[in-house]
Amino acid sequence: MGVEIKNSGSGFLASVDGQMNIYFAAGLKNELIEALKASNELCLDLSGVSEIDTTGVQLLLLMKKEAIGKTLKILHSPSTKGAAELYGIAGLFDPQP
Amino acid sequence: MDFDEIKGTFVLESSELLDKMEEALLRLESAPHDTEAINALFRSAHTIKGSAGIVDFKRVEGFTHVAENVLDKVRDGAITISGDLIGLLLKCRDHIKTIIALSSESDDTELKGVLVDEEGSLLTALRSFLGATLSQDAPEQAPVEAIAEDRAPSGRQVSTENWHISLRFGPDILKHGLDPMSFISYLGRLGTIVSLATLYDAIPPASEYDAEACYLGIEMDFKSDFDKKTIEDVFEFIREDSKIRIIPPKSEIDEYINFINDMTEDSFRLGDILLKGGALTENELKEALRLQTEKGREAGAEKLGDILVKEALVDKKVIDAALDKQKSVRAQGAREAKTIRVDADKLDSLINLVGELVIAGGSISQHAQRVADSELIEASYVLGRLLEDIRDRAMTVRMVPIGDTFSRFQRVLRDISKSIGNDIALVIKGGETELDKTVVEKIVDPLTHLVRNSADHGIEAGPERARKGKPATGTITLNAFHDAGSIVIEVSDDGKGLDKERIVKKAIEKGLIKGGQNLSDSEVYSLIFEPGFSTAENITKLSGRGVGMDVVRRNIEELRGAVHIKSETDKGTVVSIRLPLTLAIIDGFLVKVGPSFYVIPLDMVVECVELPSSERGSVVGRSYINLRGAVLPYIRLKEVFSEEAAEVKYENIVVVQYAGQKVGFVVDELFGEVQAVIRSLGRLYRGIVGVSGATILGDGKVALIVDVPKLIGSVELAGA
Repeated sequence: MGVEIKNSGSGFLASVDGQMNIYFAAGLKNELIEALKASNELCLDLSGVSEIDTTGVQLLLLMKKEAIGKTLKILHSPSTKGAAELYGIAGLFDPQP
Repeated sequence: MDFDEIKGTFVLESSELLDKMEEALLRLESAPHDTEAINALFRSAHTIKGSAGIVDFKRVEGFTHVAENVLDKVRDGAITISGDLIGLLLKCRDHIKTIIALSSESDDTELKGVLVDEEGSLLTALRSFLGATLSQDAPEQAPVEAIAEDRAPSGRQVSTENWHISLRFGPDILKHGLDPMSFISYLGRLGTIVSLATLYDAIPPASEYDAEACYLGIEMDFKSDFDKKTIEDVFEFIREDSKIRIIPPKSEIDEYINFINDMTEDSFRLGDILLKGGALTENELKEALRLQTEKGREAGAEKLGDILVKEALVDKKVIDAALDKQKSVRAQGAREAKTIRVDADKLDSLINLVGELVIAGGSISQHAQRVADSELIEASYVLGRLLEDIRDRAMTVRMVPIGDTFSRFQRVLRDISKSIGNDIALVIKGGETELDKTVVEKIVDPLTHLVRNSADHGIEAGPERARKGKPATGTITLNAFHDAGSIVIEVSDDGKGLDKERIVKKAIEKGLIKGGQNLSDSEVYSLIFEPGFSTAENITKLSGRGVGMDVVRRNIEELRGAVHIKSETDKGTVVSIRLPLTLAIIDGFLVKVGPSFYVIPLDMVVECVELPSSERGSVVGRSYINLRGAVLPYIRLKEVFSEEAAEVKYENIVVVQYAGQKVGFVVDELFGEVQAVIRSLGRLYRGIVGVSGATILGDGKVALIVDVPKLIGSVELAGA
């Protein structure tokens, strides 16, 4: 797994790729929470994620909770989208109208 | 309508209602809480009682009334459905059938002989149920987790047919390598997940968040025919440290109240989820909340109920959606019931007329070709297409799904199982397969024979099965499917199979075969269909399969069908019955042999090839050609039917297939597709092998319809 965080002008862009599972969950959580704290707008690019498990899904939910009052965008990969749909939470990450 | 007609209608209607009762009772045996079945049962009894009163069948009215009283109590929840009660009600249903038959035959409704005792004992048994109301056990308890509170059943069931599964995962399951996603995916294989909501309120702020702990909960509505045990077993590995609640379909509303109470989440959230997922209807939720509030007051504690009712009402959109869904389900039910009863004779005469019409249409189109009037030809094409449509429609009117017939065997098997003490399950496949109503009527008896035989002699007794490592419950499968213009009905069991050696021995004893004859498996098995093979003393000695099997075969052959047996020791036996799809009109392939026309059923035609000139002069009888690397036996229809040899430039082979066997028919000329209205041949011609009927062509000439199965059979025989 790799995560790359860069300033995208208006906020941060965090790109995650590889496996988003329990082996990397703790590290990923710290990096993503830091990125969220540092900015009012975070775009989470998961399009490179090949595999996600429940820790990953739960992490997305944590981000959603922590992002109250901020802007959180998520770009899904097929596997993350599938997992979110399985849990019936895909709608939470839809772009706000 | 005179009074006799009314009586006739009553007898007809009540036999349908009695069938419904039987079906409902059998359903209740496996799902005792099925309110739909209980209601159907009650309605049927009620209607029979009412109609019996109108036609003045006093005895029927009186007896059914008592049964109805019991059913009324069942419906109110005062009597719980039990195996004994179902057994009793099945007997009552049979008794009602008997007394209706008696009453319709004569006005003398005095019962005679055993029937008096039977009615007496049934009535006593029914009354004992009426007397003993309310002392029954409470309905089955919730699984996995015992319910803490006293559950005085409110007697109200929820209407949903889905399971509600509530999961609160233990914090450590992820660390143990168990991922809820896999459970959800697995459930998807056991049934349909109707709705699923993930509760993530328990996720703590980031500073306290343990990335490897699980904070999630799931509420899901799940549609499945599997039993509670199977669904529970999915969660076997997480049951120790997770909170699991599985609420079966049609549960008491109390289950939901307890459930809402037990959960730590906001009741509004839960109620909302239950409503959205369809677990509870709006009224049921209100009822649940009302009861919750009442109980709360009794206990002196204020519950969230009051607020909930208000809020649930405020959330109009959700409620409307739920209500709309219910309405659409109801509308569907109403649509299904839209049928009319038509006299079978009227249908037959309609089919006959359509047949005549098809012939007349054929004649017009031939004439049009002859006069070469393009407008007439075009019009005759349109007419031809419409005729084809109307023919197909008319035929489908007569078609009925075989499923209804199959489900009758539930009862047959149930009774056999009870009487011989063997556990036998019936599996029905392909119940939607349709076939001609007359065929269905005639196939019931042979099928009953076969099913009885399988249950009685095919399936081993429990201990023997255990010894062989088979499941204790024996299975008999009824399967129906279409195959190349015929319908195949299979009766299979997982019993001990046929004993070949014994059959051969018996056949030699009976003089059916000579010793030392080398017979294939299927030839040995078909011996049991020989008349005289089935004498009473053979029943138990000879794997039993002898009872009236010759009658079975005769019945099937009368329908122009055939029967085959496959069997494997200790694996089971499969009896397949192959029947023609329809009895009246077929699509045929018209050919000419010598000066005569023949029609080959189109469904069985695979292809046409030219007979290679090298084969032209080959020997009389059957020969083979090499068809793209495969051996194709062929027969000359000219020889079979002793037609005069007309001098033709080249001959053609029509390749036909039946029951997996390919054979070529050598003919002189090919004409292509025709619609053939099957006329049965006169008695004089019945014995002719290879011809199953005749049809009239457009120009009034007669063509014979080739009996492909018989011809192929004769090829096989010649080869043996």
